[in-house]
Order: sequence, then C-alpha cells, then structure tokens
Amino acid sequence: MGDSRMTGASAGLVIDDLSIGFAGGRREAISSLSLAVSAGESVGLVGESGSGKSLTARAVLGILPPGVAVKGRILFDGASVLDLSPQEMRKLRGSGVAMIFQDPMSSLNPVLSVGDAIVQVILSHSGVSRGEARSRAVELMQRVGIRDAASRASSYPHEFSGGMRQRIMIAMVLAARPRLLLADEPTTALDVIVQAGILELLADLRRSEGMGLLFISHDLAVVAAVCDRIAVMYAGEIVEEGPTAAVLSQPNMPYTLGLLASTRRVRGTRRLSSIAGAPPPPGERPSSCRFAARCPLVVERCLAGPIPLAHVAPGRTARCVRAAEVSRLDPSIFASTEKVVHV
Amino acid sequence: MSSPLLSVEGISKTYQPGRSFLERRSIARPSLIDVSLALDKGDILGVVGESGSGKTTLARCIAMLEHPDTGRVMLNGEDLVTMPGSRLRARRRLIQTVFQDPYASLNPRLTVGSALAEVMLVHRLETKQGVRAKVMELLAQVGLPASAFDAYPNAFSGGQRQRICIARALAAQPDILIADEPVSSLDVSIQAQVVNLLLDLRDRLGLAVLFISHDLQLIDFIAPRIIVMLAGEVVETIPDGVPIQDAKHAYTRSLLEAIPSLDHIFRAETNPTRRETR
Amino acid sequence: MTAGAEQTVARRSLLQRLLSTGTLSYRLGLLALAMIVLAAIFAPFITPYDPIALDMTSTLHPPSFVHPFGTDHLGRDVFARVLYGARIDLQIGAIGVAVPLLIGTVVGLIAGYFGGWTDAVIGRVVDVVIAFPFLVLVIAIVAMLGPGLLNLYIALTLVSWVLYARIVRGETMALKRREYVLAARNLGFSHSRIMFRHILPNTIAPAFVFGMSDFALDVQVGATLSFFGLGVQPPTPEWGLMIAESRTFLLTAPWAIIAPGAAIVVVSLVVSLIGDGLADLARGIDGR
Repeated sequence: MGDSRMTGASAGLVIDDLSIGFAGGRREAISSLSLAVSAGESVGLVGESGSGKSLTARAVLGILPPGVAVKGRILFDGASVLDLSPQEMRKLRGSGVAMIFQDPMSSLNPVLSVGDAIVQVILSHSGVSRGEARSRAVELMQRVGIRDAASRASSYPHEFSGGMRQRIMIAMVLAARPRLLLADEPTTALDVIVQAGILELLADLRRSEGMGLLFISHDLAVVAAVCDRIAVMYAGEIVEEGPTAAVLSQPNMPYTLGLLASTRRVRGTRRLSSIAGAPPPPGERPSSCRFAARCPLVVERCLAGPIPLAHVAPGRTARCVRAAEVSRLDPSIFASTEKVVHV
Repeated sequence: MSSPLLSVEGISKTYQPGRSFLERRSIARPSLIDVSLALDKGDILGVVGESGSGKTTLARCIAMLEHPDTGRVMLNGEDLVTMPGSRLRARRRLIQTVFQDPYASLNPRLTVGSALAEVMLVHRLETKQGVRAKVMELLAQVGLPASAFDAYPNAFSGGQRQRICIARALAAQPDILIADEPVSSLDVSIQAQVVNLLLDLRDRLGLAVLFISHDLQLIDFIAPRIIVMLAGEVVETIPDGVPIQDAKHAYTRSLLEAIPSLDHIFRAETNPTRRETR
Repeated sequence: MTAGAEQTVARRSLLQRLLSTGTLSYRLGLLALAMIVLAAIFAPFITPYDPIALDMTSTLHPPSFVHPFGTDHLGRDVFARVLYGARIDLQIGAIGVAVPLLIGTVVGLIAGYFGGWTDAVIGRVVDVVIAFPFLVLVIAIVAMLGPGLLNLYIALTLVSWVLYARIVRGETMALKRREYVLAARNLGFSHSRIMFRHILPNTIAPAFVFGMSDFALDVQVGATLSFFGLGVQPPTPEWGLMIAESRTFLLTAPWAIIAPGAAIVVVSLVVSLIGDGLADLARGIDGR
C-alpha cells in the first residue's frame, strides 16, 4: 500500500513492504508489512502472540534469528537498515534506535552498580560531566519508579527484584536518548502503578526530545493511553491502521472489534466476550482473509482471495470487505460466541 | 449455621532467609500476615494485589504447598495445617490449583491422556477400564478435541495448555479451585475464553473458586466478593454488591487510578446512531 | 498397572526420538558404536584366531594378510585380541557407567527432592569423595581390595556415583519449584511417584550425557589399571593389558601397542560424539 506519507517523510522509521519468512520462506511470519513512525510520533502495534509484532521490531533492530528470508525495505532517517554493515548497525542500535524487551534476561552487568551502568550510557552519548551524568542517572531511576534512587544507585543488579531490574533496563535504554524507541511489551510484567509512571516518562521524552515510539503491546488500554496511531496485526499482516481513538471507537475490522470485546468487562453480563478459536500459525494461513475462520461476519467474498489493505477513511486503512458495516457494529457481536461442550 | 466449606483463619507465613553466611540478605519479611477468609460451595472470591503482595503465598498455603507458620486452614471442619501427611495427601485432591504459567505447569514427558488418567487412578476415582472414557469426557468439558489424549503438552498453545491444566484439576474432583493468575500469560482473546470456561465450570459443578489476579477489572467482573492484598496483609474487603469503584482504601483507589482504561472510548459508543445488529 | 503401560509408550517414543534425530556426528557415533559392539559379540565369526592361543612359531609378525594387525611376542593374533578385548573394555565402560548412574541418580533425586538434613548429609559425603583425584582414589581402592574385574567395578562405583548424584541433585532442586511438580504435590501424589515419574524423566538427560564422557574415562581407567597389573589379569585380552605386555617391544613391534591404543582412542571418540549429540538433543527436548 503506497502511502504518500511514508515515502515523503525522511525523519523517522519507514517500513515498506516487509516480508519475513522461516524455513526458506515457506513459512511466512510477516507478509508485506508497511508502517511508518515519524519523529516524535507514537505508534502502537497490537496483536496476539505469534502475530509477528515482535519480529517486526527485531527486523528494525537487525536482530533477526539466523536463516530467515527478509524482503522489503526498512528506512531509518532515510538510510536503509537492512543494508547496514554490522558496525553501522551497532552504531545505530546505540543511539538511533533502541529497544526495550519484555523480558530483560540478565543483560545487566553484574559487577557494575546500576548507577554506574546508567552513568556509562549517559557519558558515551553526551558530553556532560561525570557529576552531571550521575544526577541525571538518579533522576532517571526515580522516573522509572525506584524509590531512594540516590542510595539505590550504588546497589548491584542482583540486589534488585526482576521487576526492578526491568525498570533499570528501561532507565538505561532511555539514558541513551534514542531517536526511536522500540518498546516490546515493556510494562507487561510490571505492576500498574509503576506502569503508569513509565508510560508518563515515555510521553515526556517524546514531547521534550522528539523521540519516536513504536509501542508493541496486546493491551489496548495501554496503547490507547500512549499512542497517537495504532496498527493492528493479525497472523503476520496489518489488518487495520489509523488514529488510536478513531480505530478503537469505530473499528473497521472485525478482529479489532473482537479484541475490544475481549477486554471489555461489563458487570452484570454473565460471560466475557471472546473470539472463538486461535490465530492460524505461519504456514497454515489461508490466501484469503486470514481472520475469516474466526469472524462472525464472514461472507463468501471474504474467502474468494487476498483482501487488500484499503483506505476506508482519511488516515485510516483496513483489510476487510465489510469495513463500512463493521464501523457501525457494537463489540457485543462477539458475546459468548464460544460453545462449551456440555456432557 | 454449619461451618463453611473452607475457612482460613489467621494464617501467617515468613520465608526464612538463606542460612549461608556469605549471602547478604535483609531480615526476613513476612509474606503473609494474619489472613482470614471463608469460601462456600459455588462462591467466587477474588484476591487482588500486585507482585509481592503475598497472593501466591496465600494460594500455596491454602493448597498446603507451603506450610503456614500460624493459623488454621479448615476444610469441611478439619484443620489441614496440623493433619498428618498420609491423611493430608488424600485431602489434597479437594483443593486444586491452576497455576499462572501454562508452559511450566505440565510435565513435558507425559501425554495429556496419561496425565489426566493418573490423577483418577491414584485416587481410585475411576477403574482402569473406565478411565479412558472419563478422560475424554473431561477433555470435551474444557473444549479440547479427543485427539488431545495422545498428544504431548508441547503440541498445544498457551490457552490450550491452560485448558489441560483445568481438566487435570477437575480430574481430581475437587471442591475448591484456586486459580492463581490463570490468564495473565495468555492473549486477550484467549483470556476471555479461559475465564468463561472457569465460570461455566463453577456454574455446572458448583465449585468454590478462589480467583487470584493483579487485574482489578477482571477480578471485578468475575468475583462478587474481593479482598485486596498489600505486603502480605488484607487491606480491604469489598463485599458482594459493592462495585470496586466504591472501594475505600487509599491503596485500592491508587490501583484503580493507575489502570489505563478504555472507558472513555466505550462511552463514546453509547452514541444513539449506533445500534446492535444481529 | 496401567501407569506402567503408559510409561512404556512414553519411553519408546523417547528412544525413537533418540535414534531418529540428532546431528550427523551423533548418528555416525551411534552407527560406529553399534558396529564395535557387533564386532565384539561376533568376534569368533570375524577372526579364525583364538585370542589366548600361543603360537611360538610366529611371534612379532608385522601386519599382513594372515594377521591384519600382526602378532605379539607370544605369537597371538593382535586383531583377534583387540576384537575380544572390546568385550572386556566395553563391559568396563558400560558397567562403570550404569551402576554409578543408577545409584547416583536415586541418591541425588532423594537429596534434591527432600532437601534439609538429608541433603546436608549426602552433600557432605559427595564433597569428601569429590575432593580426591578420581584416578588416585580408584587405584587406592583397587589396591586395597586386590586386583580383578569385580573389584575394579566396585572401585569405579564407589568413586563415580557422587558425580551423578551431584548432577541429578542440582536438576532436581531446580525442577522441584516448577509448577508441574507443585501440581503433582497438589494432586496428592506420593513422594515416590512425584520423584520417579514426574521429576526423574526430566532430570536424567544431563546425567546420561555425563555418563557418555564417563564411559570413555572408565575404559581408559580400566586400561590404566590393567597396565599397572591391578585390573584384568593375563592372559585375558584387554587393551590396557595388551599395551602393558607389549611395551618392551615398542620399537621392534609397535603394531602390538598401536592397535589396542588406537582402539581405546576410537571408542573414546565415538562415545564422546554420542555424548555431544545427546546434550544437543536434551536441550532440544526440554526447550519449550
């Protein structure tokens, strides 16, 4: 889908017609994905596990598993990421593009106090004095919700819990002042109060430093709180994209509607709404609409062939032949579509 | 009035810090302080709290996977805490747990069928001849195909594995089901399926359910009664009929405020031009 | 018990997996080991010579069509002795691994599962045994008990069960906290059922992998002890003993030493190939 906005903007990230396949391309994990994140913009990438959202972020960062087949283009500030040499890629990862993972593994240096670790990052990315870097590090630690940051800065990673280490990782990544941040479920493992603080910090950095944000999450409410635009992925392709509030209040794709229905908890209703079934894995995806098997609105046209991502309203695209009708529907069409076998 | 099915009376638990003198640990902090609750047939009690609030310790103490330091866990009027091991083992099946991580909850080397059959054979709930049919029945009850019988856990997705875990718990024919964050590692659309399954089973089998979650909105939807935990203590009990928005305790209120919500978007939906079709 | 029948299904499929998957070097290793075992079993059909029959008319013959590996100083066919020797050396490797593996696994399982003072006592014993160098301790025990194959097995078992116990204990301690083991306790299963049916099958792989490297070590230890006269007694064909007996003829008849030496190297290599492959497989099976 040639969106004029994408090719015109040079600052920021442009993903153009990206396909990623495993097993020599036979199992396609991501199909013809196009997405843009301009400087200072925040885009939410939403989908279930296996939809390809994390893989998209990894492609931008050049950390795909070996042996995958990649087609298409990824441009960052006009430079093609897929053609960078390993050295250039490392440089880009340092300050241009940074990523926060859901599970930070044990990527903190165990013999360095967390404060020093953050100070090192700050020193290598800006010309400030050591003292200045120190106070900035403490401030960042406070911002990610670490109490007594000044004294905790001299503690070592093993003295922190898993949730705390995740916050320190976030502080470290943000200390590099990236121009684009890829955040892959950064707060899923954290408590809501801490999450609220981190989301606020991300919004601040976007405003004050013009940082672009690609926010990957399965949590629509979190995305609604953080992102200007939202792209919904299903089974390796984008099925709907547009301004967050518009997409979530009047979705044009039944899958988005189903996700909304699943998150809605209305007291008094006896059951949660849910989408029956499960998404098709790579290699078992139909050439027609990939959501058809789970869709309550499926008609013959859905199964005839590939459904293009079409413009449905200004700034909005959707991959559904009944897009116009869907926007008039209520999430309750998904109410208890699931059958439980009674014995 | 007769005593309730389960009554937990003032249990506390403190994990002893490592004894090794090389390990620098802070003083042992109690993870459960004087917690009491009661549960009857068909009840759903919600337990909400953040990580470190002691809700998992509570679940494990009730299931007797951890031994509480003080207090009583009364099941049908018998105290499980002081019960000798052999008798306790026979009672264990009556309180079953569905754990948070469906990927760690199933033995990777047992087929689904043999894992479920084992439960019924050990407790002599089924004969060797009848057990296969009963396993099939359980699989159907949790919405899994019969072909699951001979498959290993690695053939299943997270949501399906959680269904298997639920089936395994049901195989023990329990009175009480403890669901410890059963859906927090699942995708949203799958979460709803598993929650609905648990609600159905509660209705059909009259199970008492202790539903533990960090998700206030989910707990509020599922459980009429809710207890809120913070640092090992119950800080607030929200009785039946009181919406969680009316919670009084400052901590509960701060939790409510921190939750990102889609309410403003749903409210926009009450636009009269929208109508429900179908 | 039907549980038994169910287990065989699981076990067979594990065995099938072990044979049908894996890297090329692992498969080659399996194939080579199978050929060595078959050659040892069918030795009488492969070579016409008796490994202990003396023939003083043809001593120290170099390799030829008649004697592919030559003859030793007593005129015995070296090829026949290497073949028959495999019976003893493979047996030393197999028993030297199997018995300690069995004992160490059970002890490690008990220590790791119950923890507390049980673990503390077992842990002390393990630490003490591990503190001694392996070979020194084996030689000391055999020297005490007297030479002979049975005493060698006893010594190997006394010394190496601790290694398996330590491996299995560590794995068990980690698995004990996994939710499926908690679930098994929650379901009211007995300790022995949880240990042997739910924990053991998931902890045995690393012990097995270690056993493969231990196999090669045991063969070498067996050969070393025989060399010192503490193991197998002459005229039994055994590789270490063959080297010991022929060492005075090193310069005149090197084949009599090279052949059994090469056999030890080949078996060690083959077994370590299999061990590496098993390690890969174990990682693969346990991965989510």
